[in-house]
Amino acid sequence: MTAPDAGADGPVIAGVDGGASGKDALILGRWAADVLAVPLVVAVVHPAPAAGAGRVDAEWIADRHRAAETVLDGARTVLKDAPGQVEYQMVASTSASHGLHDLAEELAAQAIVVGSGRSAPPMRLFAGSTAERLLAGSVCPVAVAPAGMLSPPGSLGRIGVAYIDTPDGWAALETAAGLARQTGSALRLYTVVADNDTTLPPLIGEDSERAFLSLARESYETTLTAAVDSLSGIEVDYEILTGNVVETLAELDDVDVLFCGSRGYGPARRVLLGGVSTKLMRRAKRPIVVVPRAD
Amino acid sequence: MFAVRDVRSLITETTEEGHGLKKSVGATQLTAMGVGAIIGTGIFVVIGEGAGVAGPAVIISFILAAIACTFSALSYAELASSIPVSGSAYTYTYATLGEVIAWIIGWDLILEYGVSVAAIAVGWGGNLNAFLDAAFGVALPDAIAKSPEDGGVFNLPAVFIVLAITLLLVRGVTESARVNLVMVAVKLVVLLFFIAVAMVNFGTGNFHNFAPTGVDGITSASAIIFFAYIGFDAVSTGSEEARNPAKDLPLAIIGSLIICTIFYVLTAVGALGIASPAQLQSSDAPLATALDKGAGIGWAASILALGAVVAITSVVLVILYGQTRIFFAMCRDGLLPPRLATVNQRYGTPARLTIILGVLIAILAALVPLGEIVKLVNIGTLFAFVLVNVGVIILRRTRPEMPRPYRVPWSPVLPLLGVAFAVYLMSDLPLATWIRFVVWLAIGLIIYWLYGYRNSRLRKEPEVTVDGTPNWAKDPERPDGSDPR
Repeated sequence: MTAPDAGADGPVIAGVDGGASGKDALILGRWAADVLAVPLVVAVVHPAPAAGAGRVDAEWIADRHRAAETVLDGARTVLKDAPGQVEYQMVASTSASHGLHDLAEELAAQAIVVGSGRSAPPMRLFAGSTAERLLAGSVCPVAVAPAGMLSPPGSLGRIGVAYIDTPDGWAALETAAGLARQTGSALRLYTVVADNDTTLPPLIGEDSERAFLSLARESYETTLTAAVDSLSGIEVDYEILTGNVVETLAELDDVDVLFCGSRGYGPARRVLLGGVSTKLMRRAKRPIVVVPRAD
Repeated sequence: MFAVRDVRSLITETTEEGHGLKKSVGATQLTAMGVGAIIGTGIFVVIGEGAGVAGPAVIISFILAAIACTFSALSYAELASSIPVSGSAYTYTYATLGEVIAWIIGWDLILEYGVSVAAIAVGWGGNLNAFLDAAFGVALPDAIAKSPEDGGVFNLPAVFIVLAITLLLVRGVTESARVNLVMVAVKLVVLLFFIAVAMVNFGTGNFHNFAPTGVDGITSASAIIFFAYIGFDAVSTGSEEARNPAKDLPLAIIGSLIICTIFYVLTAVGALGIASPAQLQSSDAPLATALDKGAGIGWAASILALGAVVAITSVVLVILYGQTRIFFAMCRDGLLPPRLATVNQRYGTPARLTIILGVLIAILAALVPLGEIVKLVNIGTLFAFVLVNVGVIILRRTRPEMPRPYRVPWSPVLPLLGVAFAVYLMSDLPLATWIRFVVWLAIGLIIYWLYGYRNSRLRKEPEVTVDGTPNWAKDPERPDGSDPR
């Protein structure tokens, strides 16, 4: 989980806000920091004073500051018996994502870990807007922990990566392979091909549809094999799944974490092009790590 | 009733990490801060009302209002510098003059902020309409763009902007220092643009009857355009950042007031050079109207109105934010029901409070004409000045040992002058404004006696606990500081 330009000893940042999902972020962050042998920084963002006349919000800021302390105390309780070095930090910022970004840059963090939103049904990731905004221009990988993970991270011995043969896919693969090496886990590459489309065949003929799909499958196999062969020193295989990309990847439950790339679209383009990683973050059963493109 | 809050407990709150402000600001920066805070939107809104009352002599009214501000600003600076914590006038008075005065100031500030949001929202609507009119030749009909007293039914644009900003605040948007800087620049550029265009088209015709209403008119206009100076207390509260408060603060306060006064006088001269006082008075967007109806330069009017709409939007946000935060502080101190101040879990803002206040202000902006709103803001602010000046005099006697990094020179002469000027301007406001204000204060005091006096945290839990945090400073839901989950 090494960021492209981060120092090798930068910490893992776990962002908490006192919500129900904070504990998930702490567990995932604790594991990530352990695996990478770096310190864990538990961060809570509280509002910075607003611009304007007369310091009218001083008491509001002080109150939120106290609330932030309460949240950190809660984190201290959760991590009481955890091994390794843990630091607790408060960040004053105008928004949670800004604050975490700034802290990540300042500390050259390896990753930012956040929980899913509060309204999540158990076992489902429902990333709040903070996680989504974090992805826009993050300098390091962003990990999102689903609410109430059944198996703790690290117990399944397999790292997954959603692989496509593009620069953002390569970046995700590289980071995932690095983690697999460090943990001694197996690595599995996933590519999802679309299901048989039931609306088009009557128009274009079922044969040509099937021919297209098998051709697609063949070309995926070629790139996946090449990708698997390029990795050494770890146990690695691939699997081609069929179905809707987001739904299929979201249902995966046999990986410790699933890596995926991010094309780093700005918010407007992401909405238009429907980035898989953003949607996946909302629905996955396992922790998702979104890796920024390496360039 | 006159119990004061322990200053030490406030200090522990604000000296923790992330809160200590760097003491690094010099006189020049402080002055810039002051100019940025003062050149709000008052000038875009009230110059018409002022010119209507005093005629061209409104120019003198601007100078008079500036002088009235100066004395009170110095007193304000002494109070702010002697209490080394961040806070508003409410916080300072709670720590020095006691609870009931703090209550009055807080209640007064709620009025001042709430009503000025309404006034500025009306100005926003006026400028929006002026822009639509000058740029596209269409404007909203009076029925949905003016208050009943001005011949409409209700002011839809003003309601719209208040509710829109309320929603933003509920979602947790605040203006950052950078945005604030840009907005100050927009305001200055728009004003300079107005002055330049007005000077090019200048005519002396409107100045012939310079003071049609005499001295009375000038002071009455001062009491109205005083609105354009509100915000200067930002410099006073900048004391904790000042490198050398004793020297830099008075320089910055007087300097920023002088710079703003020059701006305002030039604007007023320019406006009267192209439009008559009557034309200015009839508009909620007097500067745009001067360019459009007075000088007949539609393109310049549309540029000015657009700039004003942008700048005013950010001011509505800042002031509405301020009001909710003062209200929040009073709720947390137990002077108002704490239930109102619950922090929304989803957005991390006092959402309930923000919505209640936003809706009330929207109703006010919809129905009350601009002139009346502005007078109510001014009487509230001037009254707060009186309390602050008197507070300085009282504290010099009751707590002479209190450290004061900045001291008002020639006390009690200057604070007394501050009181005198404030009272003088207040006395020129109409009886109706006084009645409204007294009713507001009376309601406030009744609430205090019925609720605040009994529920004040200071009174209920005066003891400081083992960990040094006073009980009233703790989260009401989790008094033991336990894990929220």
